[in-house]
Amino acid sequence: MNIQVPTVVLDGSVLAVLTKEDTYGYIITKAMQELLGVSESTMYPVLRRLKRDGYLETYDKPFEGRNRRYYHITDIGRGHLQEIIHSWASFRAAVDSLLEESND
Amino acid sequence: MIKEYLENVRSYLKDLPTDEREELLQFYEEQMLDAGYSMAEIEEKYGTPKQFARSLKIEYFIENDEISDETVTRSTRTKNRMNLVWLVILGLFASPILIPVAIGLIGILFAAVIGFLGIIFGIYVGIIGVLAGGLIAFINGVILLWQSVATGVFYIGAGLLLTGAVIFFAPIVWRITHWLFEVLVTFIKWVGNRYLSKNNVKGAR
Repeated sequence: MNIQVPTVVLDGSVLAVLTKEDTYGYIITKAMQELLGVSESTMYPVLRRLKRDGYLETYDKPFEGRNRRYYHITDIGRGHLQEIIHSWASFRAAVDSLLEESND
Repeated sequence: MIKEYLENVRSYLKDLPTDEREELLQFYEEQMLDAGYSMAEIEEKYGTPKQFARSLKIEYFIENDEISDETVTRSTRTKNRMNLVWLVILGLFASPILIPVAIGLIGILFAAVIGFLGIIFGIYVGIIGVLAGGLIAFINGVILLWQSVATGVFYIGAGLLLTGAVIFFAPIVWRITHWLFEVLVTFIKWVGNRYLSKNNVKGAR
C-alpha cells in the first residue's frame, strides 16, 4: 500500500539532508527515491520552491568538465526545518494514537 | 548523446523564460550524468525529447499558476493559462495513457472549451446587441420627439433603460465569465497533473 508523501514532509526531508553538508541534486534525489519512493521530477519543483522561499541557496562546483549545482541550507531554512520537525512530531503522535486504538 | 538529447529538449522549451529553462536543463542533465543513464534508459524514463519537454512545460505552467504572485501581470497569467489549456489538449493527443480514457477526456475538454467559448460569445454578442439597441432607441426617441412627444419620450426612456441594464449587468457578466474560466483552468490542471505530468508524488514504500 502506498501513502502519498505530503509536500511539507518532502520539504523537511530535503532540508534535513542538507543540515549535514551541502550536496548536489543527484544525492538528494537518490536519498528521496530510496527512502520515500519519490522521483526526481517530483523533487525539482520542491528544490525550486525551497530556493525561491529563501530556505536554501545554490552554487556551482566544477566536476569532470561540467558543473554540479550544490544546495546549501540557509539560516531561515534551518528555522523552517525546526517548525516542520515540531509539526510532524505532533501530527505523527496524533495519527499513532488513532491507529493504535485498533490494537486495544 | 545526452547533450544532443537535452539540446533537443531545449529547442522545445523556447517559450519558457531563459533562466527557468536553463535551471531545469541543468538539473536534469546532472541527474542523467550522475545516475549514469544510457540513452536507452533516458528514453525509457523520460520519453522522446518532445514528450519530455511537454511534461516539463505542463508542470512549469501549472506550478507557475499556483504561485501567481503579484509580479505576474493579469494578461501574462491569462496567456500562460491559455498555453496550459493548449498543452494539455496536445499532450492528451500524444499521450500513452489508456486510449478510451484519452478519448473521453479529449471529448470532455473539447466540449468544455467549445462550451466556454460559446457562452462567452453569446454573452458578449448579447451585451453589444442590447447596448446598440439602447443607443438606437435613444437616438430614435430624440428624433421622434419633434413629431410626437409621447413616442419620443417612450423611446428615450427605453433607450436609457437598456443602456442602464447593460452598465448594471456588465460587471456581473464579467464575474461569471471569470469564474467559468477558473473552473476550466482548474479542470485542465487536474487533467494535466493526473495524466500528463511526471511529477506525481508516488507513495512511500
